[in-house]
Amino acid sequence: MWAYTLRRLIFFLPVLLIVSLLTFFATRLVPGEPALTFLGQQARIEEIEAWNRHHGLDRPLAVQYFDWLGGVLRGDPGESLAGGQNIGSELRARLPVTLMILLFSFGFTMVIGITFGVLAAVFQDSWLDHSVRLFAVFGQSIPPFYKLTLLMILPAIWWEYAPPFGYVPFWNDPLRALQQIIPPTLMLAIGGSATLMRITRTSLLDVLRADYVRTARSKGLKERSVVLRHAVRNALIPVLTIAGTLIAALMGGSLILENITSLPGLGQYTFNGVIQRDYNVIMTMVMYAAIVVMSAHLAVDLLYAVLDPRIRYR
Amino acid sequence: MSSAHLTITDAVLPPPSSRRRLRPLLRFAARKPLGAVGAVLLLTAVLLAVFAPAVAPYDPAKNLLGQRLKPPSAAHPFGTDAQSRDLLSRIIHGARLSLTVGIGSVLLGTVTGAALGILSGYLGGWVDLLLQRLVDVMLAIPNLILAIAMVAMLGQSLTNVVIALGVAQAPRVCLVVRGMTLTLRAQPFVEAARSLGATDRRVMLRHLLPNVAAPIIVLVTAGLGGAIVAETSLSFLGLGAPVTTPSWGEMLSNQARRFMTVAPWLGIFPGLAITTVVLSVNLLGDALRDLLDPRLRV
Repeated sequence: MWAYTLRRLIFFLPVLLIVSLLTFFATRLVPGEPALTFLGQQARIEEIEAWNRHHGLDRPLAVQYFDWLGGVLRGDPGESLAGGQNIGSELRARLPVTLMILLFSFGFTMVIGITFGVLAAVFQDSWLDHSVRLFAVFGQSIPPFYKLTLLMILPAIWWEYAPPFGYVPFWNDPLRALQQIIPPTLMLAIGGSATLMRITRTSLLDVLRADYVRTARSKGLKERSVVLRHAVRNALIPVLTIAGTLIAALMGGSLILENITSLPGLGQYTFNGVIQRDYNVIMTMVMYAAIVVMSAHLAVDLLYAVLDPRIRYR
Repeated sequence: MSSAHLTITDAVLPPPSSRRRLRPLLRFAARKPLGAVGAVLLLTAVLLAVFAPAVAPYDPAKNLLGQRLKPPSAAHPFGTDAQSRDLLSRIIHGARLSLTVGIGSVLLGTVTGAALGILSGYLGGWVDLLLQRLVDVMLAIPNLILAIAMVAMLGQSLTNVVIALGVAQAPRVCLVVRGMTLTLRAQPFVEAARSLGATDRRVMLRHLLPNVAAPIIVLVTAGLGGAIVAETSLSFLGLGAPVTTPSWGEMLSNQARRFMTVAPWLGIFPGLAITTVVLSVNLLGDALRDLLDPRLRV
């Protein structure tokens, strides 16, 4: 297991290095002076030079790159170009919001997706199975921002009720914070859980036909324990594979959710950076997003090897 | 040709040949009714988009005097918006942008991804190593964040939105096609072609490409739904193609949010249009996947 972990880690670092190179040099390849975006097209040469010097853009590219990369790894990636705020302190203030969104939407996705996927497989071709499959097809087809828009419109029409949007830190008023976080994250979870339902269902149906499940049944085990103890554990291995991809999708979803519900999280920060063409913010946020997704993939790989020892020796 | 000159073959031949052409379609409809429904809905959406000016009851940009924020009625089945424009006409015209960007980016992403996948799988070695690290990198960045970052850097234009969404899709196609190429490469027919002196280029284009065509068709349909959602998401965030024509995503962002309590139809109908099109693509995609490539079944 240690050798396997080490091999995965060795694989992990070069990819992150390439992400950092690509994001950094992509922002430098953009034609035009970034200074003009912030100083206006009429800026004088001296102003541009002073601005570049202030942001360290007059240094050699290699120096800028290593300075930035070091900052990213230390959690202090420098200042934003637009307002000059410290990006690191902005991130620390916003992290809890996005973390809550990701935690809740990921939790809902897994619980809903796996539960209904298992139920659909166990009761194959029943009305439950058909409704789950119908829900899954629709769930995958409705764009997240439409679900969230409907979340605001429909309760208003039906019950003249508006879910409380805005932001209250969790510890100040837990009940209100939950009221704000649960409805939108539940909506965000629909898409992913629809995909999970389909994968879980297909995978469990395959496993239920396997020889060892027949053996388990012929030993006289109760159906409940055949399904839960023997089948589901193996059926969940392919489900795990997409957990990393799911995190990436939810991070995009979080950006949309924060945009609609005005929650001051990292997604909103990324979005503002993009709108202002603030390259420092954009490349830093892309880098951190990649680190999170890669870590999720790494965790999945390791968990995989724990669940299925054969993988370690491939 | 006048009817007097009709020969016996002219009169007899067309029906069987057209029926023969229709037969696979009918068989498809019988085996996969939901897929057929999807195909019909998608075709309808494409036709509406192409013939939008002829089909739409009103000019989508015209401000109809005294018709501001009217609820759905016989004259305006989907109601009117805050600039007194007919919502149904705007939604019909909105299909143009979503379908153009969706189809354009899927084609770009699939062609690039498939080409790189075949190269990577067939050539192996350092080409494979390099391309696969690049794929890992692309997969590590959430698609939506990659797309908005690219649009921000390249500048907001129709072409750049297509490029950003196409690039976001290429890695997944590349992975699947590479995997298949690896299996195909070891098969006797590839060895036979090479021993007959076929160049690498010929092996890839004439022998490998046709064999990965079916999964590629499946990937195209599977990708189209996602691409349309991505396009509308960008427009919704105000980072889509800066067009003067109506856009579904944009309709849901500004007016729908500002007037959601007084004019909920502004939020409901554009979203329904997106959902219907994406649903039809997904239904068709599922059916094609079941028929063409059961290995990809999810």
